[in-house]
Amino acid sequence: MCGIVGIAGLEHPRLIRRMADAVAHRGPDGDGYFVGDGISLGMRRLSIIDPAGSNQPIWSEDRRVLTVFNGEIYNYRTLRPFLEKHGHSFRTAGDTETVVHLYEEYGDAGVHLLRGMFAYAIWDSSRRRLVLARDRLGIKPLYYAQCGERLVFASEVKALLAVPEVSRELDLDALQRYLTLSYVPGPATMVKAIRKLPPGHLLTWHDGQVTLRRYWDVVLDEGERKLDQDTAAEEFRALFEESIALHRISDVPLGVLLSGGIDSASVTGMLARMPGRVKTFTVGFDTGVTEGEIAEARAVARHFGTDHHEIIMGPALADALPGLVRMQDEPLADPAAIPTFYICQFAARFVKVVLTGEGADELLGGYPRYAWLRLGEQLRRWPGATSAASALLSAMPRDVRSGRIGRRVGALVGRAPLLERHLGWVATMSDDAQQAVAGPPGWAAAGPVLSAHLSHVTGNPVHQLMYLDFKTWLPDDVLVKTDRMSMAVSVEARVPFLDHRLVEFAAGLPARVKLPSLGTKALLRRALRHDLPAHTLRRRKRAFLVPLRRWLDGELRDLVTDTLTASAARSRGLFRPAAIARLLDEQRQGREDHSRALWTLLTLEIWLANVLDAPAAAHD
Amino acid sequence: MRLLLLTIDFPPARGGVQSLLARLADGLAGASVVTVVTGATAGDRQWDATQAFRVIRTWPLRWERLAVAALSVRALLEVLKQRPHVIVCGHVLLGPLCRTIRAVFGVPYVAMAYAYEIRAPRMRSIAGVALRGATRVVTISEFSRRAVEAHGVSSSAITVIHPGAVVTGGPTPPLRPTRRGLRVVLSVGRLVDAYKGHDMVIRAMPLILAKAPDTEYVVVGDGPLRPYLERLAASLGVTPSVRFVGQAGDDEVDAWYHACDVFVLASRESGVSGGAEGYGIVFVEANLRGKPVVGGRSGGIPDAVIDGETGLLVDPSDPADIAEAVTRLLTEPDLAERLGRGGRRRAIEDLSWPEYTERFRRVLSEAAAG
Repeated sequence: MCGIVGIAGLEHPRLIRRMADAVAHRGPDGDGYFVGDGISLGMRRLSIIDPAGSNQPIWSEDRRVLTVFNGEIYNYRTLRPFLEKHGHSFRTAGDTETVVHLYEEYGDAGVHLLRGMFAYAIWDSSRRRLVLARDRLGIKPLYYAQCGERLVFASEVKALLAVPEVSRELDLDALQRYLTLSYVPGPATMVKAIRKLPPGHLLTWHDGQVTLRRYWDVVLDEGERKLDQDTAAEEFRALFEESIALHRISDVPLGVLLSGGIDSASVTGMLARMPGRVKTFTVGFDTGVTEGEIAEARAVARHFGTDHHEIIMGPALADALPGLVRMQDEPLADPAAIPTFYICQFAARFVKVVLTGEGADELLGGYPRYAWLRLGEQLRRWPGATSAASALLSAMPRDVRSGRIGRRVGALVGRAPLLERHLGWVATMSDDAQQAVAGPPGWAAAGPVLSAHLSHVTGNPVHQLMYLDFKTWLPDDVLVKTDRMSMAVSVEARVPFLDHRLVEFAAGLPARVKLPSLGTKALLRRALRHDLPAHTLRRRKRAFLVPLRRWLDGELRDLVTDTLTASAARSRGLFRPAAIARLLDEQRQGREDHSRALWTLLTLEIWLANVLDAPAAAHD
Repeated sequence: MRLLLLTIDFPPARGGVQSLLARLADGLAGASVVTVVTGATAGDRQWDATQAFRVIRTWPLRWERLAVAALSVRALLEVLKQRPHVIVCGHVLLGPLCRTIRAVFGVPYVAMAYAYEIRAPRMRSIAGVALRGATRVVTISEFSRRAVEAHGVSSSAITVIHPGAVVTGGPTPPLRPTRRGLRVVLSVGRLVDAYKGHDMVIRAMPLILAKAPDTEYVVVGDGPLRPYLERLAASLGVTPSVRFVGQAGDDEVDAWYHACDVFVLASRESGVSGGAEGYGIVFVEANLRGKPVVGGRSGGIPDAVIDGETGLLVDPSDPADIAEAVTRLLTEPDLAERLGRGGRRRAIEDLSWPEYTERFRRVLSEAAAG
């Protein structure tokens, strides 16, 4: 696990070091550089596998191929003998060296043999080309920018902002999409000049020319069309167990982030079957809302006899928030990032690696909206049903309408296309509210980006929505949160539900096998029915219990008002001050709950002030 | 000897079982009076007219239960009319019928067992009835023998006869049905069951292309899995190198066998649902044309592919292993040549069709003699 940085087309030792320093938290255990041959590469290392060896950059035997690598290759112990059979000799005991030899053996296609999470750069000095690769699902980050013929890349945006040639101009379309979704869907970022390398893609740079190529994509279609639920569950369990076994590989202690939900309980349960006592970690807040959650996590821990640790967070968020947003790197208004940070910080006292349940919701249908929107699509065939639901919705009081029941009914209502009803469920603010704050185009800015993903899959609304989440929400929100918040405290987070073999299998199951009815994650519950305690199997999906409104109305109240009405914010001219003032007023008087909108605006302003406006690095 | 063959799978419908039974009926027809009772299917009239045995067609087989019922009534009539010496039960679904006939009229029956139909959980009880009640059971591989034994049939009642391929007398098709200079990796099989492993070969393609760039994966056969497989190819960026030919006639399939450089079918065993390759006659058909084959180490495939002699066996769940074997055969001409020759020799000498028929005839005689 590491941070990597580089410049193709320029040898600049000081600049590459400054870029690496911007991601120093990703790798406090060491650093390494290569400057020469017309390029500059750098990395900061967090040692997990082969701590004593494997210092990067790593060269091939003949010093023609060089790599800087961030991530973990879980199958490196299988790849090694395979590559040795083909005549490659290894000088380190680690996983990174396999990347070099795979490139020598298979060229760019070597990436297909990697099982794990990764972002890497390979410099092929004989062909004078640079290859960047990002793992299939976007677990590890990689950003790049083109400055004329030069290419700069880094694990985080901050490192690219250390390069004076990278323009800091905001992408206003991306900003609108951020307001709708609370994150910026890739490949754009909030900064116009900086792009994300999309998951499952390779980028090559040669003579100043850049080409982007996809090497893998999730295929949500009926590949295993004949499997019934029991068989699918049995095969899923076997693959999941294999994934957990692979994700245990580590030369340092590891633990599990346990929430009490079925995903992290599944990880804990599988791990508990293997040798060694599992360490589990849970976080809660002293506001009371998380008591149930903590108790459930404790029950799971007791069931599996883990070495359980829990921590209760008190107030102090106002002071910590600017630092947290800076660590998020991209503006990300997902409140779940806060507990993720604190639990990683807590776990870091005991372990260097944590396993999490992330990805299960996207892979196995953990979001109620999949099944509800599917039902909505089915109801559209009967006009009577939609108008009845429509009447029901308008008869509801306002706060019910925006609540859990209202969202479900809304998903069923009307002739609006799938995308619009999806946004009705997930959007941070309504289209009207967004336009009042930021002017047009509102939701329409997200339209083309999202509908391209929706229409990539045909026929099945559940698979359409899952694909959309695989392409946007998962890599640009969930995994950004997981990577940045763990890396902020130099802990490596691993996500066994996103092992690509497991993903390929589950994606190829018919939607009716994964989600036969309105519930969530039926397949996971069936697969682990003999492994998990009964109360966990019965547990319903809950929104992450972050006391957002309590924070905003309590300890963060002054921070929100001050930040959003400060002259610095007003002088940007991005939002209409009157509309902001109205949001704040209505929230203060308790007339409306604008918590998510305010959180989104607050996060953005803190990011603008602390990351984008941070003094540009001096040019030397 | 008077023989009644009851089956729900029969040409002109396509499939391995279909052609196996037709060849069996044809082979036995010389010395015995063979009557086949089966369901109706498109184009059956012309097909039946050219056979050396009599075919009685009942209702279309799409309506499975009704068809089995109609077939049963018709079969009973034939038993009364002909008093056959022995019945061949072509599918376990017809087992209860054969068992009843045996009990009432004392006509012994020989049950055919393949793979899926005797392993699928939903077929468990009916397969048990059919197999345990049979005088003898003929099956296609050691893998299937174990599946039959699992139903409580004693091993002395089971005979494994490896099916062979038919040597066509005609000349080699002259045209290579693909672009010149392109090397062909071929699969032949219906795109109905995921266990056939087309998906894993497609996943292996990026690695194969890295070492043998001028290679095309040709998929002969059609079915509901095709859209998924096409998407899979697109998701890996190998669409230009994967060609879906669709369903092909015998001549066209023959031409593809001749045109290919490597034949591959990476079938896997699919958990409790029972999906698995019972044998894999397509390997023998490719071998017969002198082609080296790559097979998934699963089910009955090790009976059809002798590792290192007629082809290579691979881990069917591992695209890297598949890629490695296919790449070796594409890049090591001596190896490909040796395995192709070994395969052809085995297909002609050990797995000839007359040999199959002869061994089957012996089982029938023993069964008829009681």
